[in-house]
Amino acid sequence: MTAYTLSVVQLCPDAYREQANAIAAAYGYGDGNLSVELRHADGSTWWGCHAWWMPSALAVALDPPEEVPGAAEVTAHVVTSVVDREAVPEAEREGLPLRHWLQALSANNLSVPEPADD
Amino acid sequence: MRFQSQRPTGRLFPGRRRPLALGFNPRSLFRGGEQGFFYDPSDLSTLFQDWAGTTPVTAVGQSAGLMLDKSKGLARGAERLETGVPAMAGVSDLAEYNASTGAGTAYRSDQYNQSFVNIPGLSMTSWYFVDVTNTGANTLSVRADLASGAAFFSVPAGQRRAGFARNVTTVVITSDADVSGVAFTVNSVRSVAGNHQSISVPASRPILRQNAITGAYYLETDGADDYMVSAPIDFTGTDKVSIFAGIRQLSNAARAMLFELSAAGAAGSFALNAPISAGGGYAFISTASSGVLATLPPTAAPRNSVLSMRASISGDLVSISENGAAPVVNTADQGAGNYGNHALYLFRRGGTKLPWAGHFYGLIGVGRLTSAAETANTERWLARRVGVTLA
Repeated sequence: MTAYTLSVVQLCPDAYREQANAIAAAYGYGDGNLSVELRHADGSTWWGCHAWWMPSALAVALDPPEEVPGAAEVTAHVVTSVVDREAVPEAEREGLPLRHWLQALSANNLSVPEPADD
Repeated sequence: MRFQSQRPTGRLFPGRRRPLALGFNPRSLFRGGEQGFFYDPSDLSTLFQDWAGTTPVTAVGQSAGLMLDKSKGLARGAERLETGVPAMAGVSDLAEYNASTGAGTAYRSDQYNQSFVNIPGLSMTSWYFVDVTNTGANTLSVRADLASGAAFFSVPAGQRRAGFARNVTTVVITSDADVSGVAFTVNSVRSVAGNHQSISVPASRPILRQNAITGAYYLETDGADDYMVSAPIDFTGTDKVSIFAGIRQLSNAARAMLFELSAAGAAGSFALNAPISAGGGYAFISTASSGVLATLPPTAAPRNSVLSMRASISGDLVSISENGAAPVVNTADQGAGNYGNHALYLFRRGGTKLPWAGHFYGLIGVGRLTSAAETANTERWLARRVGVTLA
């Protein structure tokens, strides 16, 4: 069974977003994953995403293959926060992705800017 | 007995018994050929893990990159494989294609010198289910054209694979490698009617879960980056719409958008804010030239809701009700004209902001005002899935 049991939040400074997205695509995880624009407390722009991963994908992301040029350097600038849903009591699983996302933003002094035209 | 549920009972007829909705299928709302959409994640045959639709969703805990629309019955169009022709780019001229059997070969010297099979004459507004068996030793791709770069999907050597091509006038079948020939058979190329929802960004896919009490499947969105979007849906033939949503709202801490026709409040659009603001209520908006809102009182989250929304531009009507209660109605003037030809976004405004966090059990929208019986039946159909007792 293909089970995506890991709640994963990834956060990345603007300078590394393009490379991080390209590396994810090179791994076969698709393009444009870092899609949420974020604001750091210091005023800089970051990007983020939340996804469900299989445990095998986490191992690759944290220890990228040498054949992907620059992957190790870029990965060092990407904050990856992981929560294993299976380890969370069943009664607390509802809303886990949103709680995880907001906690990861807060822990890294990040917030979602208010939409300007709404 | 099948039509027992069609009796006009329910909240619009106080004092009468609400119908059981046994045997009712929301597909019947579209029997007149009305424009609309019917998304039903409890029907796993409509869900695929990838944007191209090559891998079905078969179990909870799998992400959904494609959700088919059932409003048009997933009707298949005419077989197109006989329209295929060999084609070439650059110096190659080796491709072969048998339009009767679908058997062919693809060649590639380099990206500029290829011969391939071209299936032309497709409609930009349709989706096509393309089924190919690769009998060669190298990977094939099903693409929009040679220059586009991105493939709809690949067909590995020795395998049969089917998926969707969309929003193109031609589909080409090419070799991925610089090889002298890859043999294949096109088994079928047929349109599949509907306003299907998809998302190509893997991290933005919602995930399938199951309600332990009702047994219904639903899509869980993360409130961060999940969303789906359709091709433009042509509502220009009507100024009326009835929409029904079954959801569990997990947060009302910030404004969020459950669905929106257009990227952001265009003329001829409608949308559901869920909620309209931090701590606010659900708000349905219909816009011709002026947006008019029908807003329910603020409510706590999490919350199970079956929402019923109606709008008529010429009739100065925008209404919303929750769980069968009396509707909130706004009769302000929305302007004139019909709805537009816009993409329908789910779970995130324009795919970029106002993300919605919750459980999505279904969404049904039809380009007319439904009858009292249809409204009651559809609400009940959704309520059974969400686990709501209607008023």
